[in-house]
Amino acid sequence: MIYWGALIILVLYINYSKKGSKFCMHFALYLFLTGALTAIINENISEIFFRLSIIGWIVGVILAMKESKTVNA
Amino acid sequence: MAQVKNYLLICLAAFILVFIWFKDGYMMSYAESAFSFYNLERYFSLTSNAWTEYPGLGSVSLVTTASKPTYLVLSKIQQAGISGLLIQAGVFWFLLISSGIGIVLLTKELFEKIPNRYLILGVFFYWFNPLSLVNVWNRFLLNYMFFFGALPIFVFLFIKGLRTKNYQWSLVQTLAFGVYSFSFSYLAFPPLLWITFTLLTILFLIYEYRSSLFFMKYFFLTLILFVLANSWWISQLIALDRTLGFGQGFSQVFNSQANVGTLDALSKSLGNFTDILRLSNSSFTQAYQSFSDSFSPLVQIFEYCFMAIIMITIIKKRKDLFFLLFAGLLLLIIFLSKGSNPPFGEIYRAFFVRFSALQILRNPLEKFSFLLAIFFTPLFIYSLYYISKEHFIRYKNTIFFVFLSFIIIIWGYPFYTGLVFTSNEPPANNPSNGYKIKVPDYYLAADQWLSSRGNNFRYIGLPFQGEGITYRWEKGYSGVELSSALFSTPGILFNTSTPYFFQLVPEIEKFLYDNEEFYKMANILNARYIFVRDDIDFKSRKMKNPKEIKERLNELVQKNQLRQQTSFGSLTFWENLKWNDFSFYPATNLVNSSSSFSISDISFVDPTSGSALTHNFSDQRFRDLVSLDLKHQKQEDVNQNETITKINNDGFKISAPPQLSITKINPSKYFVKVTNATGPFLLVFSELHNNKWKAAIEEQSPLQHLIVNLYANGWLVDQKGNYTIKVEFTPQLWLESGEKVSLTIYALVLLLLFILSIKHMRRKSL
Repeated sequence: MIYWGALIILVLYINYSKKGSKFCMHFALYLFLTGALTAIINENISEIFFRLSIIGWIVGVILAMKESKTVNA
Repeated sequence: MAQVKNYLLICLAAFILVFIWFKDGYMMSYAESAFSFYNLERYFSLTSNAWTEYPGLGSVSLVTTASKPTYLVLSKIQQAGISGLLIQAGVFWFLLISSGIGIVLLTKELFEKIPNRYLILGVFFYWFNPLSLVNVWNRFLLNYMFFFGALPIFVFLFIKGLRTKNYQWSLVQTLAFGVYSFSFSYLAFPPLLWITFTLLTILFLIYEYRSSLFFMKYFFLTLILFVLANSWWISQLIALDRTLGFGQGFSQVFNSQANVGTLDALSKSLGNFTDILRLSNSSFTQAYQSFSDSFSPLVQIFEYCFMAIIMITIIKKRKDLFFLLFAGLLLLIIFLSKGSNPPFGEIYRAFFVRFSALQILRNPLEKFSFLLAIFFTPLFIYSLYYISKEHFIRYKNTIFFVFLSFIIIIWGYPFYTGLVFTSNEPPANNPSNGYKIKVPDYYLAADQWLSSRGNNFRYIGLPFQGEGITYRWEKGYSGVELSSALFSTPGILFNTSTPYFFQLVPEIEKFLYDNEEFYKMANILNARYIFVRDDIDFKSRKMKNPKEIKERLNELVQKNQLRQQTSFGSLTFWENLKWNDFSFYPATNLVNSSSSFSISDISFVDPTSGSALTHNFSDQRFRDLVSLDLKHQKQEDVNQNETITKINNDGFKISAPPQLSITKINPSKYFVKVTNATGPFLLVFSELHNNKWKAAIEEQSPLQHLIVNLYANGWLVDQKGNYTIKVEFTPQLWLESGEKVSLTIYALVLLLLFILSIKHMRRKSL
């Protein structure tokens, strides 16, 4: 449920703030890097960062596809 | 020229690896991998028919028939005098080369301008990444290795066809399916391959919608060719529900409840992003604590760099739709690899529960790791090249060598030290032993001796327990029992989860101790010889002490039931003195039991006097054959589980059984010539019961089929005189028809490719 909530918040935020895929992917990348660094301290915490990062990537890639199709059109 | 250099380098690197693994001159085997290279001809015959006489009482071959062409070729090589060791090394070499060349071709197809040295980096990445280390090499299953070697070629050919919009590649793909058909002998791989092709087709449909009609046609053409070209083993798969025929069907094999539990447990332990995103399998780090501890946290962090580089490149190239789609595919596979773990694991679970066929993917990481490696590799090497070229041009050589060194030195370490072929249980936990096996020569002598005694009996090898065994040989072995490789004669040497078999086998040892007439059990199983082996680690496998079993068998020698026959090394053989050939026998004296499975009933049955055990037999036409009814009644007293009431049939008169003469065509087909049948009888066939075994007198309708002697087939025959009964395992007909279709398709594909290449050459010369 937490992750569905995170996905909805991310989608709403991007929609209202007019942020694009670049923002979303950067957001996901930082979460990933934070996860990688925390992995040596505590794998459970890093797992949460990675999960959030993957949500960011899913949204980011879908947005980028949409943008890319718009550019191509 | 540069491409040729690449290929030579791949061949050389593969040769060095294979040389290191096999330099000591020992073949290797582990866990469920079987020991096929020890005797390839036997494995060819095992996979040649729809029914196999192994293990023990027989079994359906199902998709193992997919390995038939490979075993045919390899057995011919062995017959030509090439040792199993060299053939195993050669197969490993071929698979390494095939995967390497496949990766080069695939990456070149996807990213044309990539320099050659990056392609070589990709090959090492594909070979040495921790997922391949655990799921392919350490797992040591030949069909996994074949799939690992074939997948880059399959994916390359499919993408090539879609990109060039040329149906010719679909024909080449069909030939590749034939070369690597061994990989389809594992039920999960064909669906996994078609998941990959479906995803790639969707990718191309999104990327180039204008050509969608071609993509769809190409996909379906490849699918149709795949089905037709592989119809010999697909025929067995289609008939799975029917061919199982043990009274349990597809739905019971793919039991949702049990499998969802397995999915959740495996997802929880293996599906964490902390492992998947650095291509690691946590089972390896758990099992190889001492080895994995040597990986410093720095190494672990470095492993995340592979994914980070891809992620950075996705951001940079987010306007390149093809790259984006390919990266999206990788993310999807990462998502699938985690199974039912959060986030959104409920989606995977919902599909899993809804579509029972998907339940073969109950270990998501194990299955999807193949796709993870195949999509990760080209994306990573292109990303590394792109980042170095665009942002770190001055350090691009340094970056390249840092990654190359990491892959070869850190990830490659278990490969060139041979640690990849070790496990956490003895004797494979000793690096000097690992998966290496040296079968003592006395096994060959024992096998030859057994073969010299005929081919119409079984043996019982004691002690036994489950499927696992640990041999204390010079180069020992721990894994699934090797009886199929060690003995040409079918025998009972272990227990496995085959219906009827798994109930009966644990009772054999008990019967030996609890009953004074062990020969009755032996005769029902058509076991002429009983041997005891001393070269096993019976304590670690919780088996009976071989010494105790020998003492018991010697007691039976005193009672004139057995005779100590001979010994070979650690194997001592006893002969069952009351044995006759009971592979087929006519029973005119039936003992009918009210219990479907009660081992004590066997003490009332003696095939030497023409008796057989039936269960709830009620056919009035044959009622006079029943000499004794056994009524089982449960008792409330916990110490006395049940009582048996014996009811003699007063009207029973033993009649003279007819003579039988057997002609064996193959393990799936027999002709039984009946002479002098004076009345009704039950034809007993001492092979594991399966309702796809059919018997018919000449062209008449099939005879009534029963389970007899707790595991075997029986048919009620009511015809006097002389005649022939055909006994056949019907999926064999499917297999034979499928083989004809497959051979025709391969011949047509070859012919078409030949015509097309001649046309192409003519066009070029013009």
